[in-house]
Amino acid sequence: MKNKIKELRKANKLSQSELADIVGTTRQTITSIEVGKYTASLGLAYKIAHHFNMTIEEVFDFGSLEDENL
Amino acid sequence: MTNTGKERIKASIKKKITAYALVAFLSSALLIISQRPSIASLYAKSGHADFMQGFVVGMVIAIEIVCVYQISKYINALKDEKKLIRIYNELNDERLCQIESLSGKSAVEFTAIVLLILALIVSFISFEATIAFLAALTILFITKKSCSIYYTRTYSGE
Repeated sequence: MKNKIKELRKANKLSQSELADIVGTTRQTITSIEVGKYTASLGLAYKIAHHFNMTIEEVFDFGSLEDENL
Repeated sequence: MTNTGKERIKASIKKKITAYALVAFLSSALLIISQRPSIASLYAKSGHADFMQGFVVGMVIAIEIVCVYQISKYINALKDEKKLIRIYNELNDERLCQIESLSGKSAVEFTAIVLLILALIVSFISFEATIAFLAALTILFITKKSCSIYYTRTYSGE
């Protein structure tokens, strides 16, 4: 799933490790989410979005999921 | 992170330290027991006794090294908040937990097939060994089923 985490992270001068520590996951999971290899759970997605003061829909692109359902 | 959260993490890490300390203690006890002449005399052949004693020594050394490493890692983490949070996140990371779960499922299925094939092959050589393999296969099946029932009732997705 596409997302804006990398851009948001860089805009806030956060490393992957720092973001991982804040949202309670590992750097490897943040990397996997950023490149679209792993889809975060609802809880983790909310924590990431909440940290950047955005909604889940603003951070994650659900367009690809809607295309799959069609 | 709140103080309650930090205390919860510290309690979790302390449980891990206790668990590893217990494993280290039990493996040391196993080493002492296995070296007793009364245990060696239970083996049918002295060659088997020597092999098993050597195997136990090697196994215990490996276990002790792992336990000492993990205990020292966790004790260091208790002194450093950043390390503590990082270790806790590694232990409870959702992606790693899912990978462990999928690996475990594949490992159990593969091991069951291997045990069954070995039981069939070994049946031509030793009846006792065949029974041992079938017993291991039965324990594997019962354990998997028990875990499945337990997690069906308790798993909440968190």
